[in-house]
Amino acid sequence: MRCKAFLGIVAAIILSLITAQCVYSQDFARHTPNFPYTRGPSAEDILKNTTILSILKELINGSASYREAIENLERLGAIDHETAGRLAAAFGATGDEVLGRVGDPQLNEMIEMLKEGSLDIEELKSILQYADQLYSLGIIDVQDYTSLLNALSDLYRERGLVVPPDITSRMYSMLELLIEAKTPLPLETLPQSVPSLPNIEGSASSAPLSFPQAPPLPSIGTPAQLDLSVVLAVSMAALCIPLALLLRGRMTTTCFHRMYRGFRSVGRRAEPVGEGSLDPIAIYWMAVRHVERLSKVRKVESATHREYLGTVGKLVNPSTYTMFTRITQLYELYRFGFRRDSGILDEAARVYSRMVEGYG
Amino acid sequence: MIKKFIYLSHAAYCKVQNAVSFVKEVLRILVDGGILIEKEYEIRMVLACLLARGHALIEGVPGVAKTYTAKSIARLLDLNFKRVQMTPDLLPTDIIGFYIYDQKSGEFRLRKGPIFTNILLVDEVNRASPRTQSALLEAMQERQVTIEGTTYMLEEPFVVLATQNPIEMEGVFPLPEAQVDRFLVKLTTGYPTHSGFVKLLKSIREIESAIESLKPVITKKQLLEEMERINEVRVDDSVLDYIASIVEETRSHPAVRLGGSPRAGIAILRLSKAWAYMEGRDYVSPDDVKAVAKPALVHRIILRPEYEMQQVSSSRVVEDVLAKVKVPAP
Repeated sequence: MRCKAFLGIVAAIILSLITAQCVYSQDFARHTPNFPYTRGPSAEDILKNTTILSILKELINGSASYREAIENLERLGAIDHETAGRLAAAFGATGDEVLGRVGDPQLNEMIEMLKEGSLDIEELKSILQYADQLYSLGIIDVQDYTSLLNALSDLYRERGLVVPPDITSRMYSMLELLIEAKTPLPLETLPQSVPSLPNIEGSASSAPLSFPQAPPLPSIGTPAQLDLSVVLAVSMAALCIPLALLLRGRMTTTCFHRMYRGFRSVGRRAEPVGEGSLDPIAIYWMAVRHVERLSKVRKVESATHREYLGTVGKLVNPSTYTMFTRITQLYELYRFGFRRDSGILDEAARVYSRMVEGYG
Repeated sequence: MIKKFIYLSHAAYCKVQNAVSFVKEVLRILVDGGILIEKEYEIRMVLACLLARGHALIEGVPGVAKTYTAKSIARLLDLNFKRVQMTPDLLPTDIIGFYIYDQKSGEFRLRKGPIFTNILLVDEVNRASPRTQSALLEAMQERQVTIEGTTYMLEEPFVVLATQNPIEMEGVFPLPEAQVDRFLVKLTTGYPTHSGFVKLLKSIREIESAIESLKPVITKKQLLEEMERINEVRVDDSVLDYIASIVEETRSHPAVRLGGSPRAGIAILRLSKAWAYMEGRDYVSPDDVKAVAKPALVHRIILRPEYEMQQVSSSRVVEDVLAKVKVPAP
């Protein structure tokens, strides 16, 4: 008995140490500014500053490369020398350095051909497609990929040519990725159109929506960042192990039973709702959470309900999409269309129940 | 298959379906019929502008079917159409009209200018002198003209489609900001795609004769009734708040020297209502606002020179603003 308790305490200590290491590696903000021995901000942290990001974007949009843009930022006083150095080191590697790091002979060959030729746009596109594949397969990381784009843009700039939008749009996307989709992508990076809801009023004669080009949505899922609440949960769980071993009996059983019930109640949030128990607005948002989980795409605050519907259209199964489309229609009617019909309420609840139960 | 319900009163349903049917018919004839190739957006926006009682500024190089668009819409809607080619020596009287002495009757007789029409295509508006531009724009705003002290109301509907060439640098008088603000929308029209161009070349003879033989799909009276019904389109307070936020955001954008005025917000509201109505709805949703915000705002935003030098355009600023402003929630 005592031996088990001892082992449990040891396990708790080990878990606490792992947690502390996680906290340190994630570099949580401290309450005291300039707290001694804290690590400096990473390049990603610096890019989370949207002011710097917007300046950087504008500079890239002009004629500057990443490196030049960073130098300009430093000259303007937007960032200090140390920050500039960190940013340049992270994303400003030269072409040769990147190719050396990547070590892919095919990529090397393709870039050599591009250099020898007249920087043909078709050749560039094939290089970018290949680089995209390498990046999506995880063969090259975000820094190498960004540096590669930078090196390609330098090639064009050195010959006095305009940097093709294929490169700049990818650079934008990378910046967006680095700031965890806090700022939406520019239009040219993700051309999308708003989907047409198939006739909200139920008539087949209504014209479908065909907007010019809706502002695009970042289709990047919520990054998994270690939160303080997670840390606390892990610590508590670690403490529960020796407690459970020491106080194994009725009290412990009750405690675990309560915890189990608590977890079950959390899980019930996405369960079918009783008809008429919620309004279509609440049901819509529950449906959004459900679709977010399925599609791994968050609904950003600047995206309309139709835009979100269009974004997740190909990421969820057709039956879920059909039902989510209907819930979106009902939400629009109720929320913006001044319809307070009980039929809307009942139908929204019914469709939502079917959706979470996985029918269709 | 999910059963769909009609949550709209029969009267309201019939009203909005009228708008949908005439817009669909116009699009069917012009777009599906291959008369105006790849111009669906322009046609929709001109129709929205017309229903919202506004005027449109169309920017595009010569030869991209600006005149054909205006002319064919006028024919299909049973409206009178006139065209004025602006030149630096054009006088205000050449547009609004003047009194001429009639020797037979011994009296002065009014000779009405081309402004007395329903759809007026003003080609190269920035080629006219500021005096002539002012006379035209005043008539656009007031919907009336005063000739020799007598005021004449212009016939409803009255819509001006003014064009300007984006690359013309010499011999032009750019419209002042205050006057550009009078246009409800600014549309930028461009060249067709390669396949569209080939299609156009194949059927150019048929297109020319088809435009001449277009028959009205709606009477002028019915059109005026449709325009009245736009006022019945309802807007939730949260959507109004959304429109205000968009316009305010243009003022605080770092690239903007002068942002949208309250008139810009009114323009978005009017266009959103018309757009929603054309889509067959009697309420405005945030998507309608987003759809019309760009053409309603681009010409009302003045950028900082340093951003202009970096090729930042107003349309990109509007896109950025739309991507920042939160849509009504929950």
